[in-house]
Amino acid sequence: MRSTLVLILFLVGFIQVFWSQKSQLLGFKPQLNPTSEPYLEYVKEHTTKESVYFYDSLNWFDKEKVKRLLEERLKSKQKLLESNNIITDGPIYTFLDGILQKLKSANPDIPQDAKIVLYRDDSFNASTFGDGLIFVNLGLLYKLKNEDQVALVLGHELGHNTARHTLENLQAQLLAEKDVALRKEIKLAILKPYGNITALNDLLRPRVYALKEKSRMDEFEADSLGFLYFSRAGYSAEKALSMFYAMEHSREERNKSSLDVLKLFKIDSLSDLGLKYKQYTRETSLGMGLDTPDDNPYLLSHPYEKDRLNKLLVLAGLNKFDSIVKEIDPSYRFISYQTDGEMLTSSLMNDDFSRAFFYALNMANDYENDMYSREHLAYILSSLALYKKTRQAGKYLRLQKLWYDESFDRIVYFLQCLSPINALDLGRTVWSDWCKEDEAEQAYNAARLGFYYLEDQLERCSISLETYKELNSHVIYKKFYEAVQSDFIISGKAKKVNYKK
Amino acid sequence: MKNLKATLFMLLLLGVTPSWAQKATVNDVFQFRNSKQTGTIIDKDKIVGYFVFYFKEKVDKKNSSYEIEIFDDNYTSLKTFEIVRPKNSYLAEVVFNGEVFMLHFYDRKTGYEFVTFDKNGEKLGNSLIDDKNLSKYELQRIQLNMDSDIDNVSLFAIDNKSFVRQTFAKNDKLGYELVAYDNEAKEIWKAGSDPESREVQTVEIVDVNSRFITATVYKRPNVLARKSDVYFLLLDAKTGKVISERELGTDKEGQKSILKSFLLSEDGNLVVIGEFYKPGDDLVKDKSLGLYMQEIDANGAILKTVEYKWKGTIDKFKQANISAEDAKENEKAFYIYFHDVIKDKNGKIYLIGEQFRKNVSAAGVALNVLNGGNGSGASNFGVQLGNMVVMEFDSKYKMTGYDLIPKKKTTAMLPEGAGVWSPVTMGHYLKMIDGFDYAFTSKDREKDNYNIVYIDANRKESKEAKKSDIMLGVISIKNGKREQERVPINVASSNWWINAAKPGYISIGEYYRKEKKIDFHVEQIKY
Repeated sequence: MRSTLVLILFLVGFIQVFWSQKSQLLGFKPQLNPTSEPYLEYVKEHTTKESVYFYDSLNWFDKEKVKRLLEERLKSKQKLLESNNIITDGPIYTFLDGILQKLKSANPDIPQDAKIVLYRDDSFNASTFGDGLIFVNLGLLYKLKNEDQVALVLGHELGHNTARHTLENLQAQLLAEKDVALRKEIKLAILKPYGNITALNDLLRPRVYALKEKSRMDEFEADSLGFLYFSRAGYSAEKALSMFYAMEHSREERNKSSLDVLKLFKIDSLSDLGLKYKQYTRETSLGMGLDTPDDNPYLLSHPYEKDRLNKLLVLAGLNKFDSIVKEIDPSYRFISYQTDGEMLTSSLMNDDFSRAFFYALNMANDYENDMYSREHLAYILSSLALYKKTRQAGKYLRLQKLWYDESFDRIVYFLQCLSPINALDLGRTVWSDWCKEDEAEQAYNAARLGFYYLEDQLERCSISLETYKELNSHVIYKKFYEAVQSDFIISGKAKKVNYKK
Repeated sequence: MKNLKATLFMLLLLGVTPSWAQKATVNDVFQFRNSKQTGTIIDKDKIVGYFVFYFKEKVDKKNSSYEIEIFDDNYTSLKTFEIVRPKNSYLAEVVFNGEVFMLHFYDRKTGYEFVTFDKNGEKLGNSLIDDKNLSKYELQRIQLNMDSDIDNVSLFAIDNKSFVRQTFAKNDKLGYELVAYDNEAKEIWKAGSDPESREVQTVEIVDVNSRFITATVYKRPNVLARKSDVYFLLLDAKTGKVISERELGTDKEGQKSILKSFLLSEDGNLVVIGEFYKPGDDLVKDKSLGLYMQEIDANGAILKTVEYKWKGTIDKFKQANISAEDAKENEKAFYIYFHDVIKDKNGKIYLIGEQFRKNVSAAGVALNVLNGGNGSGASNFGVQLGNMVVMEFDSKYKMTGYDLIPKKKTTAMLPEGAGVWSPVTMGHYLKMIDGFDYAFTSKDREKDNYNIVYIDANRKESKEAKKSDIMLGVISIKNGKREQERVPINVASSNWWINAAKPGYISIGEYYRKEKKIDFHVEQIKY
C-alpha cells in the first residue's frame, strides 16, 4: 500500500516536472535589446587598470605608445559591445552567469569581477580580451551537451585571464614596435618598389610561427588552470571532457541525420521539385580536392584537441577516456532550445536564409509544439518567394560547399531548387500542418495576397523586402505579422509599423 | 603608425583561417581591369567551374605576380595559385580541356607564350613564339582584341590531351595555320595553307571535337578581292591530316556557306549546316535560297543533303510570337547567325540563331561627315540585330519547327570597309566583337537540359513597370520541351558582369572598388 502511494506520488511528481519542463520549453522569445552600458563602463575601467600594469616600468615615450595601443583595443571592444550581436539578458545569459558565479565563489583567488557576454556567432568558440569579460558564442552552446562542458570552457577563459595571456601578447606587440631593427626592415620591405608582399611575408613568417607557438602553449596553460577552477566548483570531468570531441567535430552538424524535407513538407517525390531534390550530389564538377591551408600545424593558434584532452586526462587522473556524451543532458535541454531559437534569430539578422531555414527546421523537428520556428519557416519561405521572383535570392542563400555537413548541404541545395511558387506553397504547408486551421488559412492567404499583389501592382524588380513588409502589413495576419515585425526590429533596417486590426 | 598598420595587416594576413563565406568572395583584388579576368571553365560543353585572375604584386622591374583562383560550379574555391609574369603580359585566353588549363599570354616585346597548368596549379610546360615570328595579321588581331577588350577566340580544346590553335601563317601572302599542342604545351602537329599558294587564304574553325576539326577556308586572289571561293576543310583532330577539302559550290551550281558542324554521336557521322545560294548569286550581297544540312562520314564522303528553302519550307511555319509590325519587317532580308547547335537525347536538333541585317548607319555617316572624309574608322554601314531564331529538326533532318523569339532591335557599328563583307564574315566579326545580344548556351547533356540566354534591351517587364538592371531572355529546352521567358535581374554594385553558369542559372560578378573585392553569386533563371 505504502509502496503504491510512493509510486503514485513519484509519478505525479514526474508528470509535474515533465509538464513544467515541456511548457518551459515552448514559447521562445529572442533577446533583442542588449544593454551595453555596464559592459562599456567595465571595459573602460579595465583599460585604466591595464595601463597601470604597463606604466610602472615605462618611459614617457613608451607610455604614449601603450596608451595608443590600449585605446585601439578599447575601440574594438566598444564596437563589439555596441553592436546588435550581443545578448545580455534572458535565460541563456542567466544560465551562463550562474556557472560563472559558481566558478568564482569556488575560486576566491581569481578576479571576482569577471563578466559574461553572449555573442551572436555560429562558430564553436569563446574568447576573452584579458580583462575579465568573457565572450561566449551561441555556436558553442548549440553544440554542447551539458552544464559541465560549458563550465570547462568558462574555466578555460578565466585561466587565460588569470595567466594574463592577452597582456603578455600586448607586451610582445609593444616590444615588436620598439624593435628598431625590425621596424627598419619592415619599412624597407614596404618601400621596396617590387615584391613587397613577398618580402614582408619572408620577414614576418618566423615571428608569426613564434607567436603561434606561444599561443598554443598559452592554450595548454589556460586548460590546466581552467580545469583546476572547474574541479574546485565540483563539476565532473567525465561529463565535461567530451567537449573536445565536439570541438574536433565542430564542422559537423549537431543532428547528423539528414532532415528529410520531402517528408516534412509532404512533397510528392515524383513532382518536379521532388525529382530535382533527389538529384542532389556533393561531388565538385572539377573533381579536385579542397585546399586545406590550416593543415600546417605551425600556423595553428590552438593545439590539436587530442593533445589537449590527453593533458587534461592526466590532471583528472583518468587512464583513458571513452565515454563520449552524445545525448543532451535533460537539465541542459531548456538552454539548448533557447540557443536554437537565438541561432535562428541571428541567422536572420545576418540575412543568411539557408542557415535560418536549417535551424528553424531542426527546431520544428525537435520541438513538436514550438511556434517560433514554424512562424519563421513560413516567413522565410514567403520572403524567399519574393526574392526568387526578383532574382535576388543568390544574395541570401548559400551555395553548396564541400565542407558543409551533408545534412546542411542538402538544405542549401533544397532552397536553391525552390521556385517562387514552390516557396509560397511550402509556406502554406507549414501553416496548415503545424498551426490551427483557421489561423493557417488566414496566414497563407495573407502571404499569397502579398505575393500576387506585388506581382500585379508593383514594379517587381525594384522592390525591397522592407517595402514588401510595409505594404503588406494591413493584410498580413496579426500573428504572422508580429513575427515579421520582430524581424523588422532585429534587422534594424526598417521603421516600426503599428499593426492595425 | 604606418609600420604598425602594415605589421598588423601582415599578421592578420598570415594568421587568417578560411571563413565560411555565404557567397564566393575574392578579397584583396588590388587591380581588376575588366570582366575578362573572370570566366568559365568548360569541359565537354558543360560548365564545370570558374576562374578569376588578378594582380597581386610587383615582383621586380620586369615581373608582376598574379593570382589565379579556381572554383567549381558552386563557387567553392578549389585552388589558388600564383603566376609570375612579365609586367606587360596580357592574358588573351584561358581554355580548359578537362585536365589541363592552357593560358595564352601576349607580351608586346617577347610575343606569345602558351603555358599549361594542371588542376593543382603545377606548371606542365610552356611554348614561346617570338614576336618576330608572328604574322602581322596575328598581331593586328591581338592588338584589336587588347584595345577593345574582346575575347580572343583562337584556342580550342580537342580532348583532355590536346589543344588546337588557329593562327595566320608568316608568309608574304596571307595564309592560315592550325597548330596542335599537347598538355605540356609541346607542338604535336601543324597544318595550314600551302606557303607556295598564290592565293590569300584564311580559315575559320567551325567546330572541334575529339575526332574532327571542321573549318571554312576562304581563298581570294588578293586581300582586296570582293569575292572569295569558299572551301570546307575536314581535318583529323589527332594527326592534323586533311581528310577532305572541297569547294562549297561554284558560281555555276550556286555557292554554299558553312555555319556550324557537329558530331551525331562520339563515333558517328558529322553534320554540317549552312546556307545555299542561287547560281550566279553573290555571298556578299544576295540573300540565300535557304539552309541545308549535310551528313558526312569519317572519310569526308557526303551521305545525305537536305535543303530547306526560305520560301516553300520555312515560311510555312507561322509566327505567332511576333507582332504584325515585326512580321512586316521580317519580309525584308534578314540573315541568321547561328550561335549554337543542340542535339537532345531523342535525336532532335535545334539551331539557335539571331537575325541581323546590314543597314546604313546614321552614326557612321555622321562621323564620316564630321571628319570631312578623312576617315573616322567607322563604316557608313551598321548592323541591325533582330529576333532570336530557333529551328527544330527531327533525327531524319525534317524541319519540325521555326520560331522567332522577339527582342528589342539593337544596332552595332561596323568598321570601315565592312560594306563589302559577306554576311558570314560580318556574322563572325559581330561574334568576335561581342556585338550580338546572344550571351551563352549552357548544356547538360546527361539531364537533357539546355538554356540559351540572351540580353534583351527592353528592360521593362510591362509598359508600366520600372526598368530592371538587366533583362535576360531565356530559351530553355528540357526533355524535348521548349519554353521561353524574360527574366529581370537586379544587382547591388554598379560594376557588374554576367558569366555563363550551369543550366538554369546565371553567374553575376560584382566588383567593389573601395573594398577591393569581387562577389560572385549565382541566380536561378529558370524554375
